[in-house]
Amino acid sequence: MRKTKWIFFFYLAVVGLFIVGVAFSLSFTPARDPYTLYTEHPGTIRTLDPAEAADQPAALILGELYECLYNYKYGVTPYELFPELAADMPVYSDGGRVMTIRLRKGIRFYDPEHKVFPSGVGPAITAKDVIYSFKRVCDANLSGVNYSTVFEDRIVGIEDWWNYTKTLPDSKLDWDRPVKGFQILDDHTIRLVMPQPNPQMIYNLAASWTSIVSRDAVNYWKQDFRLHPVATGAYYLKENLPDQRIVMEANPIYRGRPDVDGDADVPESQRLPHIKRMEYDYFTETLPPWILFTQGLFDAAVIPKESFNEAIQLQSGQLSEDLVKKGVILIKSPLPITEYIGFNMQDPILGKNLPLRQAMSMAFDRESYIKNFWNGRGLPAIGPIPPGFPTYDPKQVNPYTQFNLVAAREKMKQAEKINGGPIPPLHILMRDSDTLERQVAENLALQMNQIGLNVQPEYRDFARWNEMVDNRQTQLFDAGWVADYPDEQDFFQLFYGKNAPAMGVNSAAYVNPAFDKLYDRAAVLQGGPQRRRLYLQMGKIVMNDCPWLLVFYPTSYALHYDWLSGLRSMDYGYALRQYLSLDVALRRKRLEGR
Amino acid sequence: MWAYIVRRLLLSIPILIGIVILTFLLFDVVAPDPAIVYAGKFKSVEQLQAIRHQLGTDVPKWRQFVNILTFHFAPSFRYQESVWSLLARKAPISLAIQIPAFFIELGLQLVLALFVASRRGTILDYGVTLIAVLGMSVPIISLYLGAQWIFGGWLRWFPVAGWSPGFFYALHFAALPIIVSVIGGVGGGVRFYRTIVLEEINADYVRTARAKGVPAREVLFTHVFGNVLIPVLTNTIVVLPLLFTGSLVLEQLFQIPGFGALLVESIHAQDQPVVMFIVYITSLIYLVMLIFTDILYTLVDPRVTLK
Repeated sequence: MRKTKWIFFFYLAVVGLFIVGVAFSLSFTPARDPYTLYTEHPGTIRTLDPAEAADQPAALILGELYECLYNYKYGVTPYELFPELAADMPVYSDGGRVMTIRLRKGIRFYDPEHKVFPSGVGPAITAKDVIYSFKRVCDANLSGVNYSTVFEDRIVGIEDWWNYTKTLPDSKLDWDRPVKGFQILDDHTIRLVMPQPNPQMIYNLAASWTSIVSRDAVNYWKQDFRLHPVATGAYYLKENLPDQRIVMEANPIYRGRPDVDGDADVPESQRLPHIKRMEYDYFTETLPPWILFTQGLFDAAVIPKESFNEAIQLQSGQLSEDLVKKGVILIKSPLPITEYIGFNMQDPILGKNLPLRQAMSMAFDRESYIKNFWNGRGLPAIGPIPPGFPTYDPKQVNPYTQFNLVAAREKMKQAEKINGGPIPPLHILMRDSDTLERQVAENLALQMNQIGLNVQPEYRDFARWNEMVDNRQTQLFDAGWVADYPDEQDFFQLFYGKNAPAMGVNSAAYVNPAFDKLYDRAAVLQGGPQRRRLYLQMGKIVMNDCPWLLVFYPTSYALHYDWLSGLRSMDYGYALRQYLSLDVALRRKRLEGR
Repeated sequence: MWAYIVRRLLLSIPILIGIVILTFLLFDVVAPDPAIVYAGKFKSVEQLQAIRHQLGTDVPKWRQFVNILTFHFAPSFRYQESVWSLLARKAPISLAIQIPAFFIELGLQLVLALFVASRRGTILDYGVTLIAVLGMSVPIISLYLGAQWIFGGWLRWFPVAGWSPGFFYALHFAALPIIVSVIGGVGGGVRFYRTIVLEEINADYVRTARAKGVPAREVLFTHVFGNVLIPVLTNTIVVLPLLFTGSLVLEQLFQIPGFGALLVESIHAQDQPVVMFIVYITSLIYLVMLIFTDILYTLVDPRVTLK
């Protein structure tokens, strides 16, 4: 009895201690700095090495730390590039096959840990650093996740370099080994030689994967370079707690603006970044960051689907009165995304049956789909090119994206004739198995049922979906494409015949020689009326052939408090936070009494 | 007893190998090529080969299997970090939530079970049983989300979610997950232990003790409690390995960077080394704990011998 009693008392003591500890710990709220921007970050950072990072969460951070040769002008649409580490826009020669780029002078690497460069200040960027950084993107030892995206088949001699990196470990590579397409003309001039003109190459030089890194830092940190950025951007990495938070502070040797040389004298009042410290907390779930935003603990947020009705008035589509009173501002902006359902053109039933694809496209009610599943956050798709591109025309009429059951049933009669009888059940591959995805698939099946089609959904996780779509093992698949740069070519490559074989980006395996001919002509042209005409023709071919059942263009609903200013919706570009400002007094005032 | 332990250890080996084979085959047959996951939008054969090489998935399957069996795990695909280092980083965080939750929950379960069983048929018994059943019936996710809204969002007594290093900062973030974990788990245990206590209360030895004039409290805490310990041990020791793997849903929803959240995210990200590692290590500890439970039986109940 006595022993049991003591155990019981011990237990009570432990519980008591826990309660006291909890009560005490409640006063240990992590300190909030009034000059810091607080927001959420969508995922774990796998690597902060530009050559190895290929995911959006990493790109968001990389963009604040590193710089590229070019970047997008902040808040300017249609999007325009400006020279960032480059001194001016590239000079094209040899019919557009050669790009000569001058570099800015005096832009130095900053080493926040003072390990690589004891004073913290590294040497100024030279042509050698740029070519070294580009070669790293094409290093098989680093897995080359961005090699296909950026340089493969686009630089003369790059395949030789890639094969060479496969033969030796990084430490034994001769980084000065010449690559014909990467030339150093002098300390501040480089030349890129391409096998054929590639007007989109400049966009690759404005993507964070081609950020310029310090060779000394890579040599010092070796494998750990991915966690220790030494860069030239507006911010440096102050703290990186994996799966918890990432903190960045203003780079003390930043030149003050991204579009000037390192020794430029930028007046103090105009110097960027305005916000000296940023703290990003990781959240994989959508509810906690939303609660933190409504409490004013986060300065900006996206609206989770489940809280949409709380934030937006259903009738007007405007912000709720409660949030308006709190000083919240809504930014609605169309995203450069086209959501679609792909038809596998290699499928014997779908590929040869144009009326079937057209009938399915006409039987799909896009308006109700957007309203019911996306809270009205989107526009019905008309063509493959979403808003924000010069050839997008909201007044354009595509008969196959207009909901018309009568016409769809007529098309079905033709489709059955071509098929030699009723269309057998069709299978659609969904890229997840969550509730939304199941509802979307069931909705599609119901809509197709109206024209006598039996569409059966199959659910896979994203990785398996990817594999099956890449290997053309599907009939129908739900998909979406996010533009990588503001040029329609990024979408049209998805219909180009040479990209149709397995693993190619033309997931529908659509092949139309007439389209390919136009694509080949447009691919080597710089922007202008001629290319625009070609793009319009290509768009019409795709709309008529229906290799995709075009669904919708999503719209982003982003929120921020009025104490945060300067926020612009930017679909491309990086280093965007340096332009933001915090009104510390207003924030304090608004949060008083909350 | 030693012969028994050795025999059980030897019998555990094929079970363990079976678990590893099953998980390995699941990854090999069901899961797609992880290189595709990490390749991004634009893929080429060359690039996929390089990624496979970096991930170590280009070596023969039998070699990969032997490596796992011999504890030579590949680094995490997603973190590019050794799985042992991930264990060292994340297991303490899971334990910080799970150990207090486990002990508070177990104590509450036992105290409440003894209390209501000794007052069987009274309003107190019905009341506690009703609350316990209600607690068991509420979906655990609803409980967690509700707690976040009410205590984090509305009342602001606790942080909504997150984590921070440092003992008191960690406790600051751990308090609500621990409390909801206890609330969510206590009901089932109370019902289970109440049934066991009731069985013991009606046993002959209890009647004899009472007849001899032993005070009711002593009967309950000495005679009954001692005999209840065997099912308590069975029920609790086997869950000990799960303490360090953490709670999958709890950690995910409360954004606690522990082992449970790691497992969920690793499954989503096709991070085979991490999943294999967690399955292997958990199974191993689980099997050892089962043997340990048998040994403890002999200590708790002298009538039990291991042969």
